[in-house]
Amino acid sequence: MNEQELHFFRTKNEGYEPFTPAAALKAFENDIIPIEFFINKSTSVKSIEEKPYDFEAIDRMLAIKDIDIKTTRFLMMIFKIMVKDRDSERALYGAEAINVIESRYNKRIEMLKEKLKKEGDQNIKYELAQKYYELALISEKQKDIKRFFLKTAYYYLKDAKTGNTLAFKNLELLINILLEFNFNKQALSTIKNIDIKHKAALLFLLARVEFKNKHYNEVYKILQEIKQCGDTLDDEIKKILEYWIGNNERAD
Amino acid sequence: MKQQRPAVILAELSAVLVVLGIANFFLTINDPGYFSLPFNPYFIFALFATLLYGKYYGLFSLLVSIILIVIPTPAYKYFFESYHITFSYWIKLGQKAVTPFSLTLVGIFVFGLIRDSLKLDLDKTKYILNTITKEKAILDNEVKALKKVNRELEMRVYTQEDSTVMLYSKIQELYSHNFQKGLDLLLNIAQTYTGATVCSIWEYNQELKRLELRMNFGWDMDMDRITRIPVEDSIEGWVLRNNMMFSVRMVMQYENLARMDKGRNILTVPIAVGHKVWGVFNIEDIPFEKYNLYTEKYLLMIMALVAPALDKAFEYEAFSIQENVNVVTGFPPFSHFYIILEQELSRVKFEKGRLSVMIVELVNYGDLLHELSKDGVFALFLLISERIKELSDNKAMFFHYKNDNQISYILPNLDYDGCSLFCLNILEMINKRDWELNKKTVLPEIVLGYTSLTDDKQSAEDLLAIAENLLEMQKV
Repeated sequence: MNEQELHFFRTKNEGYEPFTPAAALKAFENDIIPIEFFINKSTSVKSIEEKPYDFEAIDRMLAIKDIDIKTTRFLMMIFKIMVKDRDSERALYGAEAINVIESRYNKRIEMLKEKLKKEGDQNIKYELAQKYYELALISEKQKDIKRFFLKTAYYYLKDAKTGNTLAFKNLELLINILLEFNFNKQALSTIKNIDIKHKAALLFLLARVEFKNKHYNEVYKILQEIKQCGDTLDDEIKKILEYWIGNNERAD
Repeated sequence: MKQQRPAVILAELSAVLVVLGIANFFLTINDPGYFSLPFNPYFIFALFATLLYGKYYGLFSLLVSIILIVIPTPAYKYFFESYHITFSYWIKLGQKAVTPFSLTLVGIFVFGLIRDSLKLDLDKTKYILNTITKEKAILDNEVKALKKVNRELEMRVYTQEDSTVMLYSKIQELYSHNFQKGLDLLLNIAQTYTGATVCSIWEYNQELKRLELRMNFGWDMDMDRITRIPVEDSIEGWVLRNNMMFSVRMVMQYENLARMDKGRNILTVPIAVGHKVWGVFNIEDIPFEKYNLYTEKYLLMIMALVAPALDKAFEYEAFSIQENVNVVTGFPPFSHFYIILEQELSRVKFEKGRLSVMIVELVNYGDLLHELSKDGVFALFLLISERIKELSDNKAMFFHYKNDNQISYILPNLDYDGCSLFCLNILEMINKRDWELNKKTVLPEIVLGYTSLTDDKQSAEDLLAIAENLLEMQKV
């Protein structure tokens, strides 16, 4: 927040103070208040999950077309609870919202499929696999549908793969798909077939898979290898290394 | 475009006319006003000025032109050539000028009207454009603000799932004095804030020295799961006995834990209720990135935060059950029956076991009430229940049902056929025996409603609806 905005908050008690975000927007349009007031009013929302629901905030979130998958999953969780609401209007709203999110994904997938038909670019298949994987994640509770989406994502990845190489992003996606399927051993053999020596990102991926397979000794060894390989590590990996290895050696 | 000031325009117009006048003076001194030419530069200029600046500027040009025509030439002639100027000079000049002057006046008026109308249109368009530009500027600002707001909102929603504000409001919900709901919330909070994909809550059964599954998240119904864990030789038991947290890293450090490890535990913490360890919370699966010191600390913090609320709910529930236990029969009320039935169902489903529910209704309750009083009827219920307990090999759990003339049983390890047979045995036993109470013979008339857990009937509500339905059918 800059000085000007701070100044506004110090002096805003003089004159008209709209109560709702909509009123603040109207007042801003008519040069009665500065834009900061509207921003302040609009973002001073309660938690989206809290009841009674703030439908204005939910609507605004729903209107954003490029929400990331974590937020989408969170919203879906709220809508799935809302669908079971005793109030039929709220239940209907929940169902409509789920429909909006799903049809947004479907439209994107259809667009990518058409693009694939026209251009035949293999990278589009990776994009399609990613979208299907995300659809599987938001269909968490419907197991059969989830499996179908995961399967489709897997086939697109398999189809797009030329030779034995996969970009890290796509390899990570493949591993994620296998882990979601609970094919932990297949995930392990997939990553072990790749030359991962001295590559921190790949080693970390391997550690993830070994952890899922409950091979904790292996996880420890891999993390030690990551520590020694000297790559620049991000903070999250550093924290995990510190947690597992610390400064002391293990008492074998 | 910058608008010219009227004084400048007037000066410019005057300057051009003066030039025209000078040219007129030097080129055709005997024809002031260019009246011998087929067109008149002065008047054409006036029309031009009208088109360019409007009718008033046209009239001004015309006026200046007249002054330039009428004054300089005769003045020169009078002063420098001693020419005697009479009034007839101007009359003659007037006669020459009258037609072009009148045409120019009409022209100025007409062109002025056209120009005014065009200017009006132009002004209108300008006004519209101005309004659009202003609105666009406001809209641009709004879009900027909305983008900021959306970004902020998205970030807020993104972080909301595991925000401290959310944790606070969920902890507040725990103070509902409902222990079952409290545990449910604890499972939800712990799952949300640690990112656990599979987790469960286990209750310690002091009598049987084992931990029993109370609830879970993420268990796959297709997989075989154990729902009872011995306190000895298990990680859960170790956590319970030592009131300490278990983290899977410890398996690599301590041999005893490695021996006990069955691959079920990643993070296991004790749940304290009152001053005792009530049970354990176990995380069975968690994303690798989430398994860190932060999650460990967070889990311990959550347990510390929920403990007072759980403690209160447990105390309240224990008190409420104790208060509502029937003094004659010693059976808990219907509300407790429902909770126990739900717990048993969730456990039996994962064990892929069997469970039946039975409701016994005393049809001649009114007569017996008149004969024995309410406590007497309850004593009769106790008597019947003791016999039923014997028949079930002490496995049946007894509760009061919705009405005073009804009691209900939970019968573990009994399927539908077994339950039907058991009901026949009960009816036979009741009809064969002589029932005596306070040295009085009584004749209890009972009807039975029962049902068993099947693939399509999984909830407590479903089971009770079927049993009640069967009961009603017998009464018709």
